[in-house]
Parts: sequence; C-alpha cells; structure tokens
Amino acid sequence: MAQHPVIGYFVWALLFGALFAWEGLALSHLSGSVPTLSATFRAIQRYPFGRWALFAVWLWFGWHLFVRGWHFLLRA
Amino acid sequence: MSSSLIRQDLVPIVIGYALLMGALALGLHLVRRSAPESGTAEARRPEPAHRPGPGGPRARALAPVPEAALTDPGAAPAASPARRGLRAVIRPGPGWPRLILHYLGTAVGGYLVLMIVIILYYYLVAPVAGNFVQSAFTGCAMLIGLTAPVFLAASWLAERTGWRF
Repeated sequence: MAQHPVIGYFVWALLFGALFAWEGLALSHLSGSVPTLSATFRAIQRYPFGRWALFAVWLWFGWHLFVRGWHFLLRA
Repeated sequence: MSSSLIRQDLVPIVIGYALLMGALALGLHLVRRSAPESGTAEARRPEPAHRPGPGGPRARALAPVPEAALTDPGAAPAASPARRGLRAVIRPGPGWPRLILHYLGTAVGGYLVLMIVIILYYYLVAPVAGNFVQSAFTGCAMLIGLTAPVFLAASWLAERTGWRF
C-alpha cells in the first residue's frame, strides 16, 4: 500500500465531516432554509440530466466497490 | 510540495470536493428556484388537481370540448393519430410501460454520462494503468444488467404486496 502524507487523509476526513455536519444542521431544523441531502437529491431527480448524473455516481460507486479488481471466485 | 504529491493527493481531493459541492449547490439552487415557482402555480390554480367527484380530472378529460376552442383559429390544432401514437410510445400512461421506460432512460443516460466522464478523465486528467476504460464499459454494463431485474422484481413486489422498502 502506498504511503501518503497524513494531510491527505485529514482533508478527506474534514470533507466528510463537513458533509455530515451540514446534513445534521439541515435535519435539526435549526436553520429552516437548509435542505437535507435527500431533499437535494429529490430536487436533482426532477430533471433528466440530474437523474442521469445521480445514476452515473451510483454506477461509479458500485463499479469501484464490486467490479474493479474483482475476479471470479475460483479464478487463479 | 512536490508535483507528484499534488498529482496523487491534491488533485483527487479537489476534484471530489468540486463534484460534491457542485451537486449540493445545484440541488440548493433547484430547491430555491422551485419554491417560488410552486407558490405561484398554487396561487394560479383555482382548484386542486385530485379533487374527487364530477369535477375530477377524469370528468374533465371526458367533458366536451368547448365550441370556441374548435372554431378558434388561434387555438392549438388537435394532434394527429400518428402524433398521438408517438406520444403514447414516448410517454405512456401510468403503469409498467412508463416505469420501464423511465428506468431505461435513466440507466442509459447515466451510463453514457459516466462513460463520457471516464473517457475525459482518462485522456485529460490521469491515464490510469490497466484496462481502466474497458473495465468501466463492461463492468458498469454488467452492474446495470444485474440490478435491473432486482429493481423490477422489487417494484413488482412493492406493488403487489404493498411493501415499502
């Protein structure tokens, strides 16, 4: 496994932390104008290109999780 | 900071951050834009769309066309049978044909969008080693092929049994 500087992992943690913090703020109703992630996805899915983009993201995620670097079970 | 460090660590982070924040910004923009639109549409609409009884949408659909609409030269012409048939194929009524068409449109559109992004990424950003592009084409098609029957079966079950996933 390649060695990466800690700052790279730290930035990823910061990004995901910010994402969950933003979602938490939206769910807490402290700020009535912040849409939740699901509301944002619903808004995006109203439009064909938004649906395509979300499906592409889902496909990309599934491709990385289940397909890339994967071999048939008994294949050498 | 070396250039390899920038390429390996910063570029993916910046691209991921831009994609995520871009999607969130787009969603926020759409939500904010649709709120006043739906408000004005509600204000303009004199009655609810799903009102039961003789004034419902089915009764309105069966109601005779006003004579003024038939004689008004400025009115939109009635659709020809061929155009009505094409419209029925493109946008069928509620049910399985519409669901399947909707799914196919989304799956094919999303697949094409991802392939375009992957090709642009491969040739413009980072030529990933191995059979990256080939794996993307075949692997994503395989994922769609595997998930489509599951999705349709789950939809059928939800419709038949009333289950909610």
